[in-house]
Amino acid sequence: MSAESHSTDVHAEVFELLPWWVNGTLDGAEVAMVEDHLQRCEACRHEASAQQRLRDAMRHDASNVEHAPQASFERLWSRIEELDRDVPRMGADPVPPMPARAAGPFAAHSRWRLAAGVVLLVGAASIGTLYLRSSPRDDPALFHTATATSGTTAVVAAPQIRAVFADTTTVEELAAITRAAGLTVVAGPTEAGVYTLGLDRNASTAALDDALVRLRGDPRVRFAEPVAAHAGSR
Amino acid sequence: MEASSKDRGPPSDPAPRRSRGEDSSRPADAVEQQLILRVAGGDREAFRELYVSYHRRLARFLTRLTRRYDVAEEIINDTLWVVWRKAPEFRGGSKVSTWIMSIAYRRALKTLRRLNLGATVALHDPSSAPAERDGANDETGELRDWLDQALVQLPADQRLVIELAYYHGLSCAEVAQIADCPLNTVKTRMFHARRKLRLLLPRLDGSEDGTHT
Repeated sequence: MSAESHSTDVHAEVFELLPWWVNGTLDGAEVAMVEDHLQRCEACRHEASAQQRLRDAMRHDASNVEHAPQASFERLWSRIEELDRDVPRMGADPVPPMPARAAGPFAAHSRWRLAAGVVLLVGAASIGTLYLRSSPRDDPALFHTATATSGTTAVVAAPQIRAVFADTTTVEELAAITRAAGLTVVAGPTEAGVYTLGLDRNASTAALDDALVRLRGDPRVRFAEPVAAHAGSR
Repeated sequence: MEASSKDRGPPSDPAPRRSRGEDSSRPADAVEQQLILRVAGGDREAFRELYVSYHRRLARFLTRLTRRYDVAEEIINDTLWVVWRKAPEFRGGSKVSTWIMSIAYRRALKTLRRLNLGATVALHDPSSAPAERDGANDETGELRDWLDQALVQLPADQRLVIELAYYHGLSCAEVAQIADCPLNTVKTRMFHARRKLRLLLPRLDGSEDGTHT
């Protein structure tokens, strides 16, 4: 093998390994090979810099969604208790396959349920009494945050909006819509597809109204109403 | 291509080296192995602890794959349900995190197929161009928005490799284990993902207009 072809092979190998050099998971020999090659190859240094920027952007890609693992866990646990009664979990018992989505214990809540949620909400709003009677785990005031201590209730005092998005709204679109309205996803979606969106704790009534106008002006938002405590601010 | 001496040296701020012999995630894995043992014994509190610690990273991983919060939330519970059921069979042949992520990945793929969510937006689709942001002087935020839009345009398997390597910091072998494919397949997917992202995100080149080549 000529020195030139050897060099070409090393270049190709290093180029392929750069993402894992950037994320720090190569073994010692690979690191040595990559770093030796980087000393000599401007193209690979340039590519490594680009991959470093990509990794930095990915890692700073903070979602504007606050997760509520406690509420989700309680939902899962209640299902487990139910299922374990039917199929007791043994030390090495064969695990039954997860039922298909349509019939599974955490099956997607089909469109009719989403539609039912929208109808329920619209109906409630039309009589001027938007008062979603939720189970305790769906109550935004009882949602736990990812950082909440177990058993601690995170009481939400900031202005909030309940919204339903079109079924086809992607995560990116939802994030963009809420961000443009100055909102953060505090909780949701509920089984009916309802999201609770929060404004900054110190946000004014005008800010709440502005956020509502923005949401209602977006065709992907099926429904947007302030939660009861702020319903009078409109 | 040779570099001048002043250009030599790796780019700044590479991630701390984590070679296989000194895997910094091992202590965390030992803790999680203990948790799995307790879960296998039916310990609800251990399961809750495991659930909470995995919820955020699974949510991130699955929303990247499915692009739907509601679907991701559903797959999280499907995944953790499998973990609950299979914990007694877990023998520690892999890291706990790799095991759980691979379950999530398989369940996500099934869901994507069932819901036909795997389709990607066509490249150069004008409607997929990033929207103008308010206060676009936030460079990081702007790049993040562009990145969100660009990632959507990758096939799910390529998006997965980028996500696992750059957000979750996993090795090529770990990604291969989660995706249940050979190492070379992971490298190929990463290669194509990088190439597409460079086309879609010219500013990754470090110049505002991406003319630096």
